[in-house]
Amino acid sequence: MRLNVILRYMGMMLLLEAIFMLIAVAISIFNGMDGGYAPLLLSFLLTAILGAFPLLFVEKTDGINSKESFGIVIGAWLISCVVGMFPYLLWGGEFDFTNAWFESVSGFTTTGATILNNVEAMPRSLLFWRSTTHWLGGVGVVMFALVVLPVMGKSKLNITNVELSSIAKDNYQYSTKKIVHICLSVYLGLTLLTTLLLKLAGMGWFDAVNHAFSISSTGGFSTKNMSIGAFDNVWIEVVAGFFMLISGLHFGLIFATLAGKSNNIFRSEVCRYYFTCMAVSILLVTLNLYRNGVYETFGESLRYSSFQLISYATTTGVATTDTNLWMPFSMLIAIMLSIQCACSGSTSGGLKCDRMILVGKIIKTRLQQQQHPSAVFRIKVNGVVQDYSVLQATQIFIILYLILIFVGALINAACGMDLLSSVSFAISSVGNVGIGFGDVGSMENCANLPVMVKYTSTLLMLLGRLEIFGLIQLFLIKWWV
Amino acid sequence: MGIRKRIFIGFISLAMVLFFAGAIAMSELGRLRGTVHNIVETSTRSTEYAKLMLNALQEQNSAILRMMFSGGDMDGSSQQYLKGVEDFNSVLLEATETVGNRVELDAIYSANDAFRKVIEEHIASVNENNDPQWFLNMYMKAYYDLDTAIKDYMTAPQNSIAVRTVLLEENVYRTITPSILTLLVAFLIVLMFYYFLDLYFLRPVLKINKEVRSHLDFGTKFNVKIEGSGEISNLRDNIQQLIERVNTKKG
Repeated sequence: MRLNVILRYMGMMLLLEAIFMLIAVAISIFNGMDGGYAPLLLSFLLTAILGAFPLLFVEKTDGINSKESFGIVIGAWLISCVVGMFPYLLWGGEFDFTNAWFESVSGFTTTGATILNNVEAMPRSLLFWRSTTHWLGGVGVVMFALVVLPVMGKSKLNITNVELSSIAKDNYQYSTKKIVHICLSVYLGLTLLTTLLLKLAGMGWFDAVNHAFSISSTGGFSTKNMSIGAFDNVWIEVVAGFFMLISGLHFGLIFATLAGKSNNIFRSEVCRYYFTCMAVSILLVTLNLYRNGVYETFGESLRYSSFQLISYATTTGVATTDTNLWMPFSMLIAIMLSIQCACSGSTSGGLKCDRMILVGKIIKTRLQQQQHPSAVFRIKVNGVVQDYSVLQATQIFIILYLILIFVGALINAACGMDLLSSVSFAISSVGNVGIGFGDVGSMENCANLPVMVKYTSTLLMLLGRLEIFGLIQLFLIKWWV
Repeated sequence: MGIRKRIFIGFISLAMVLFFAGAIAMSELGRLRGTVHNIVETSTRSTEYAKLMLNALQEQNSAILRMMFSGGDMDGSSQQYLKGVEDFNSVLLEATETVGNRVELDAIYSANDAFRKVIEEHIASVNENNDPQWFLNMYMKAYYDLDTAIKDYMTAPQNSIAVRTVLLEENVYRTITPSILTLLVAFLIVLMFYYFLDLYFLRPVLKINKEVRSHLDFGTKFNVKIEGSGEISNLRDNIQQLIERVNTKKG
């Protein structure tokens, strides 16, 4: 494995981050040199120097092998999180080292959990940087680099394999080069459209841009202490809810639908499952909340339950209501959606609908196999026969995912958190959801969580974002040889 | 880009980062020093002014007592009172202009006005100069109010020192955070610099040297693989050509 090649690519990621820091500096100047000016400027200089240094020595390289591509992706995520906390640390406020690391990881992994008690006390430029971490993390720092970097060819394919799950890649049906362009086009399009419609719905430009970054990346950071609920505007909620739902779809399928291709959203088995799941969950929760008098009218119940469930399912994590007031039945549905989450090939985290469908089919096939021991059954998703390796990987992934939730919840509980908070925060961290129940409810923050919990949850966030195996590889010594 | 230029830019980058670290450290430590100096100076000056104000008040008090018991202006006691007032006012003015502490000073101004009013009203009614009821009920109260306000002013900086010290302790790592971060980046750059110098320059040169030695001693084939294209690659190519030319001449 060539460390110099890995350092070159990591340097390019850092330069990309430095550019966004410079944009945040410009925003600070535009806002009369607010408190974020000096921290962002110094962070920009340090990041730019650190990023440019490897480029001074390492020349352009083609033919990156799979180990190197793993190294690049994992290294880029980690270094992005480290550099991303510079502006927070330099600004101070509520940020000590632990909190800055938590906020940075939460941003880049698009989790959206925050340690800030008072978000509105932050300078606008830093709020912009905070939302930018979501946006950069959304499709993945590496995905950006794939477009930005002039290096084409095999290296791209390898890097994409780490970032996207194998299921997601199968569904794209395009060449790797095209995947990158499609992802970026859809992502940019969603962000621009969300910004525009949020503005039209009644937000200011600054809030609209920040929330669009947060929504299109299924992140969850807001510029308000009360999140989207602070606006108390149905139209804003409709726009945000719709785009959260769309951002949870396969980017390739969104493109195919818009381009009028045959393999579109309407024909996708996964999308059908995703929409049906959402519709049934919203209906059940609305009825549950209305019948138990949590909200006065059916309309109110529908409004809050639909927005909040979409937020949980797509792993966005923005909020309009305090879900700690919900009935246990509604909470359990929200927790279930937080585990399942949205579709592969989107920016959402979690197990993903694709794997749920596969598991359902594996169970069904197992039952059929018991009835007809000699029969040969093939499992298809969207009409494509799935390899044994994919089925095995899915099962292992789900087992590992559940183990991580259990271990995370155990550590949280050992640190003094109650059962509901421990379990829901572990689910929220691994799935990159950002909100849970109890101490980490939709209207709460993570400021008062024990330090150990903060570090554990950031590890879970990174594991979840890198599809578990990606980060685990880093710790396997044999892999480095 | 040539070796010299790369190494030069590398060192310049490192120097820049170290310069940042130094400049930020100096600036932050200067700010910290300024804050601590300000706290200490405010405390010292407040104590000094309070002492002078208490002396002036004591002077006024002696004059009033002498006037009370002598039944009039004896031994120039009214002169002593006026001097005390003048001293007090000048110290108060100086304290206002130099130290600050507006809240405590406002309390002194208010208590002083009340004290002055009580005395001037009493002096105006000459017949009641030795009225003990006035002394006990009005004068003593106004006197102690002013005395308390001065003492509060004197102790205020000490009280704030405790609070500000706690704040300084809490924020001390934030004050040095920029320097720590910059040094961290400098450390990473040093590591990378060493790695790149070793990978691209030292190791190839050592390899070439070993291969040339091997060729000279045992006549093995000169075959060195070097990453990238630069002066080191040119050196390898030149040595290769030299060896070939020598071999051709021998042949």
